[in-house]
Amino acid sequence: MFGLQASGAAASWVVGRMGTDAHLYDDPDDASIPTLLDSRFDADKLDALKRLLALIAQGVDVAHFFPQVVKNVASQSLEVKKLVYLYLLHYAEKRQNEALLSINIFQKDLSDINPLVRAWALRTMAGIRLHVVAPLVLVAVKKCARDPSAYVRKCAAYALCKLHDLLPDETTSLEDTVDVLFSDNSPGVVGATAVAFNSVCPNCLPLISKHFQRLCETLPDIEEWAQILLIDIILRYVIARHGLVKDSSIFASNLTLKSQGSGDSALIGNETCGTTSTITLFRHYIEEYSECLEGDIINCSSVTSSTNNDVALLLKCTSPLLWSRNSGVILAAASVHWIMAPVDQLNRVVGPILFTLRSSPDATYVMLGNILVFAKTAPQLFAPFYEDFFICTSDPYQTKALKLEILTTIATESSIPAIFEEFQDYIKEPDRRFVADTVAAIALCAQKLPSITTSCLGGLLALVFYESSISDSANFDGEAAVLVQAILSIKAIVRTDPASHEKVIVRLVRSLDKIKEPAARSLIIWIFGEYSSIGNIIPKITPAVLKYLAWSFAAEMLETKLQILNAAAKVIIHSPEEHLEEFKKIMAHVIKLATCDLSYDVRDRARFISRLLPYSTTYLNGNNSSCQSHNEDMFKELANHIFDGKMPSIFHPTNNYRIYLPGSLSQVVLHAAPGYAPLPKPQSMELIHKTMEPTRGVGNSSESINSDAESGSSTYDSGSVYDSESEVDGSSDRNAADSNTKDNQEDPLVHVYDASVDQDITIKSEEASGSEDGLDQTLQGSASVPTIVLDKEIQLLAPEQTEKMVLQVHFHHHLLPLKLSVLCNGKRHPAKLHPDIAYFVRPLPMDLNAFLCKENQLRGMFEYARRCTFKDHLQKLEHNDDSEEHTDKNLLIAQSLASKILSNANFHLVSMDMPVTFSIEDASGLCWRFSSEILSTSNPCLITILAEGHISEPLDLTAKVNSEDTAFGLNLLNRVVAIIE
Amino acid sequence: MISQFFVLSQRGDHIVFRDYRGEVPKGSAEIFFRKVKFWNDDEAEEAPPVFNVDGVNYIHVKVAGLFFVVTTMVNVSPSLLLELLQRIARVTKDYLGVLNEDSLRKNFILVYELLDEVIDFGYPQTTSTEVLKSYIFNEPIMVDAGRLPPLGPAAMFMQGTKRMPGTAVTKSVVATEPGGKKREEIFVDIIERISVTFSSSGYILTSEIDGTIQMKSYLTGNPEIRLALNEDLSIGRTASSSYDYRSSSGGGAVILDDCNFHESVHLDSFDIDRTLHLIPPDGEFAVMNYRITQEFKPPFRVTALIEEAGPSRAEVLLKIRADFSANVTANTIVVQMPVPSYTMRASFELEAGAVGQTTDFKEGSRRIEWNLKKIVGGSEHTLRAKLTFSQESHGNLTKEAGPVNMNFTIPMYNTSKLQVRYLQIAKKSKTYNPYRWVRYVTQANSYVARL
Repeated sequence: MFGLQASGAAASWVVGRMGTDAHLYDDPDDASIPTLLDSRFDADKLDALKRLLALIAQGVDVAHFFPQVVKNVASQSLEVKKLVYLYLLHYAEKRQNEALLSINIFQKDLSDINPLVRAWALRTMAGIRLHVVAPLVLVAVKKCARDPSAYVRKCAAYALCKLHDLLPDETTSLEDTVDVLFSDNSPGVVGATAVAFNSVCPNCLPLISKHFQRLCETLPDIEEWAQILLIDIILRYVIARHGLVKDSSIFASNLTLKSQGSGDSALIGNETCGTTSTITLFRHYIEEYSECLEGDIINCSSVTSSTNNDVALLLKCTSPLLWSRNSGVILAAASVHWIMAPVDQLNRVVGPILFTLRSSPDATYVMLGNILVFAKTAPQLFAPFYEDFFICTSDPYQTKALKLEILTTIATESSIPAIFEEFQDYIKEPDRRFVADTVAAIALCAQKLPSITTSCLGGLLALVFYESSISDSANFDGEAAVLVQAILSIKAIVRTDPASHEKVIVRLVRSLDKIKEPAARSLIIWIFGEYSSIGNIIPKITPAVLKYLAWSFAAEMLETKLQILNAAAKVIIHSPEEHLEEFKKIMAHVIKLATCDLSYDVRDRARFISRLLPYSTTYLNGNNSSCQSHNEDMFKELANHIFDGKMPSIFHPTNNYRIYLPGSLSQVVLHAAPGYAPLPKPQSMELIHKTMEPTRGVGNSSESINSDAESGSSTYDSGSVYDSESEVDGSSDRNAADSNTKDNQEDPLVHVYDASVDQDITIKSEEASGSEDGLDQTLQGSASVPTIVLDKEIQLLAPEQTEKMVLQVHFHHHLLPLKLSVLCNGKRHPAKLHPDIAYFVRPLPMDLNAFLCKENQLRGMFEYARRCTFKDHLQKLEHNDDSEEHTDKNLLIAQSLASKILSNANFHLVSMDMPVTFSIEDASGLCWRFSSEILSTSNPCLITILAEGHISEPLDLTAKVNSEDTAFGLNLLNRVVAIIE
Repeated sequence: MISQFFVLSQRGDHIVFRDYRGEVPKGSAEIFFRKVKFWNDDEAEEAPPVFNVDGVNYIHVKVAGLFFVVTTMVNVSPSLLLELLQRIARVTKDYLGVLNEDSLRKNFILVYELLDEVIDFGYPQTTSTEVLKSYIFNEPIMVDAGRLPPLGPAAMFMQGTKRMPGTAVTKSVVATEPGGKKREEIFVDIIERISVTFSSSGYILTSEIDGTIQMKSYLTGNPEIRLALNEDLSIGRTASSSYDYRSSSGGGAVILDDCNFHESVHLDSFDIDRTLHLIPPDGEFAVMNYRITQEFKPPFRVTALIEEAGPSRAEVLLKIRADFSANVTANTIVVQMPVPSYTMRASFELEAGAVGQTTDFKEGSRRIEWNLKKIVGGSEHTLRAKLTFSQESHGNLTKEAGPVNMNFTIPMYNTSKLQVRYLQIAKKSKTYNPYRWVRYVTQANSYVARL
């Protein structure tokens, strides 16, 4: 309905103004914007606003038009409103004072008949993001959550997210609204509520339980963006409520480990490697996994998908989403199945996942990253589909690299011939880096599947010869990388069983003559040195090779020289007796050359070796040998350790590789991005509810604002600082209009829990420097008074010691807090000083008739009411019971409340109505009226408090405020309620 | 959630910049651009779509030469953001008709208004052109489509074939024509991207069709549409049935491996007569995506031969045969073949009377390139190239010269034989007879012939 109306309006407006916007962008300054803004015609206003927005887009600061623009919020034209909103949102945070002026118009718009107007008013109001407006927005959101229009309710849900940032203390009332919105009929609203839930109370899973069934049913109908979030929410709920599924992939891998561990202790390195990785995988998935390790977790998993209805429903409602056209939704649904579905049903996610590989290349990249994790845990799932991971020529490099890694992971004995055929073609690719990756992948495959080792080595050797033959002619950057990688791969394969690959080593060593690349040469020399004593053939060629190396030493590059020295040392340690003399001669020659080398690294290495292996250098300096001989044994042992240390045979690549939940950003950027939350602890629902506060924000101690507040380095509780007993203090402040002295506070402004405070603590005003430009345009015009800052320093503060200071400050605005910061130990702790709004009014003397008259003028949107309870009189009544029997108890109550309020706020007491009832015990009908005037604007502010209930019990009070300045009024009301309670 | 959204031009200028939460430090767009531009100094390599710099996560897609970027500080599903960026680009295109720097700049107010509706405080709300229509008031300003270089998949219809009105695809779905009356028309495009790998002996190793049915509706009042596909169409390939089909009907039937549908599609009668019922929303959207691995007749046969011709010399022979009917023409064909790395020079010899063909030897990437403006069905083209090496070759040249890679677009041709039998629009009145365009196109995704 409204859609038609709105587009009709747009169409009529458009007809006359087609194609006139272009020049606005090109030269927005050519017309007088202020005149246009003040024009009577909407068309002119639009023109001006468009020019302003064009200027903003070009980076020009047009904040000085703010007052004029704000005026136009009241415009009846939707188009003008929308553009004003855009402008307003852009500058609201910079110009808070003026932004407050627009609040009343928003309030009015909230009850407009057009739902679009209501929705936009709410959205913009929430978007202004001022703390003082937040309570107003909260009221508005609650109202809009029950709006007849779904669009408005949806906006209300999104506004909750914005409010949550501003009002972290009001979580409970926000939660209530979330609850209301979750039971909405419109899928769009439910989707938006899921978003709100995720930001307002992501751990408040018990809230879900009553909506669970309906949420599952609505899931397919909501917007795809919200679907992703909602899937995640209900997954967390099911885990927290019912625990994990016994026959899911999590437990399948867990149990295999157990049986293996008990069955045979001598496991092959590869297998342990695989299972350890799954254990770490799920430790990463679940919060506090280590606590419920082993026995506990088995208990937790007493559900199976077939017996538990919620789990079955979860799986059932996410299954159709596997065929969504949005790859994000598919991934979210697939991860639900990955975690919750029984292993035998897991293969139904494979098809959809592979299907998404055909969408945009960027989505493919993310998808492949997730497939890689899936494949690492359950290679058998993807093994039959290896052809889908063959590389396309159009793939970018990152995609190719991921595909290669997946292929190596899922390769099996049956698929490896086909995969190898592909690899052989990849080697011909012009992209050298990719070729190098392929070569590395071949080595990984060969290590995994021993049956292909021989053919791999053959291929790699051929590649080495080919690469070495071309590298001298065309010297491209990437060229050497392939060669080096090929040798590295050979090295990796050979290491698994050096003896049987002896011939490969020999052939490599023989190719030394042809290979010029220093990195490649040094690698081969390392291989030669390491395996010089293994097998039958290598020892025979050792002398020749060593001679060759000694001969070529002078011409080598630095790294090769070092490797030659190392290799020679290794050869000598392992050399049989008959060659020892010959080797020693060669060694001596090499060391002689090396000690004269230009590079000090080489000289150092030479000196080091000659000391370590003194018997090898007897030819060099024979006179020293005698005195060193007693150390010989020790040196020999040392040398053995250094040069003959066994390498750890299997390298665990997956152990330090942290795994994140599938589909999360962390999974792609490989670090826990703020806001990343592992799965909740299975069956921990009640527990979560109680410990919700402390668990939020844990895990990213330095980055999130939440944890900063909770770690307790600096807290300031805005609600409870006001002292209720400092009567003298309060009245003395009455004259000090703008400055408000705060002392005698029971709650300190700043708690510093830093244990090692030993340096100066300074309190500084954040606004001291910036007060020139933006903030000084206060409504009072008393801008010239700067914020008063005490630069007093606290020299030393021992643990548990408190230090009291009196601060005198000047508030720029009666609603905006003053930002202070406490500097201590070089750290900055922010603190905010909220003005006590009750002192920003002055008593306005008036009689009851005037009061009632004024009250009648300020009805409707200018009126706010809140309920609260009053208990103070109970104590006094008890106290009085003994002394005087016949005091009027109602009078006592009336006095105690009035004095409490008057001592805490600058009000004028207009009247006090006493109830006329038969029962003297009944206090219902007690009524107080106070009047005051806002200091800055001189707007009257009327407060009425009405009591209800029995004298001897806590009284129910209804406090009401009537004021033209609604933002001020609502804040004042909250303050009054705080005073009463 | 999303902190910022911005669109950058290829030179790094801000075209659109919107900060939703004010949590990302200033200069993020510059940081992003520098990072993407110089991802890898020495190689012309593209940055991954998702990366992280100093705690800010940058997610981007490249559409029509523009960078669409979002930044976020927290953990959000990257697939979600990538899909969202694609969708924003599509919605913007729906509104502006064409998507390029000029049109974005000219319509910046509309774009900001759109962004305000699409993302609120960093939360994506709605990306349906249809829904957005009721909230958007600004009117797009048309950019002259005539002088624009063709962009995007729709642009391929503009070249070569004269049967389509060229401006139609660049029309905004919301704008009214200058004449006042909106032209009633609907476009259904069947776009197939094919991947084929030939072995050295010429038979097909792997083949796959990756297809989508795109619809773009300019019909007022969103009438219901019936889209009928081949009657013998079947979905899902069980091992036995697929072999039956292949042997008996010789590839006559169309078997889709998997497919998915747009949410507006009703599949009630799909099982009976293979028709899709839908009420098309405004804007461009994919009615159906599908994948076929069933064997099909590849549109081109590629033969490549490399032979030694004396010391440090070789001859390359490339031959392309178009295996489709003569009334279809393929255009913008590029054939590339990597040559041995020690190649110094290449001289080319085109066939006699060749028109619109160019050749090139790319020294940097060591490949020869052959561009053909068009190939008529049934014709055959050959290219001879003489390579000069800087050293003697090492025996096996075929191992050193890479696979031939081909790129092409064939309008009005589809490999899968998936057809739209008819397109029925629910009639409002007797005179209501909107234009219906059903177009087919086949593109090469990866078309490789090994040596």
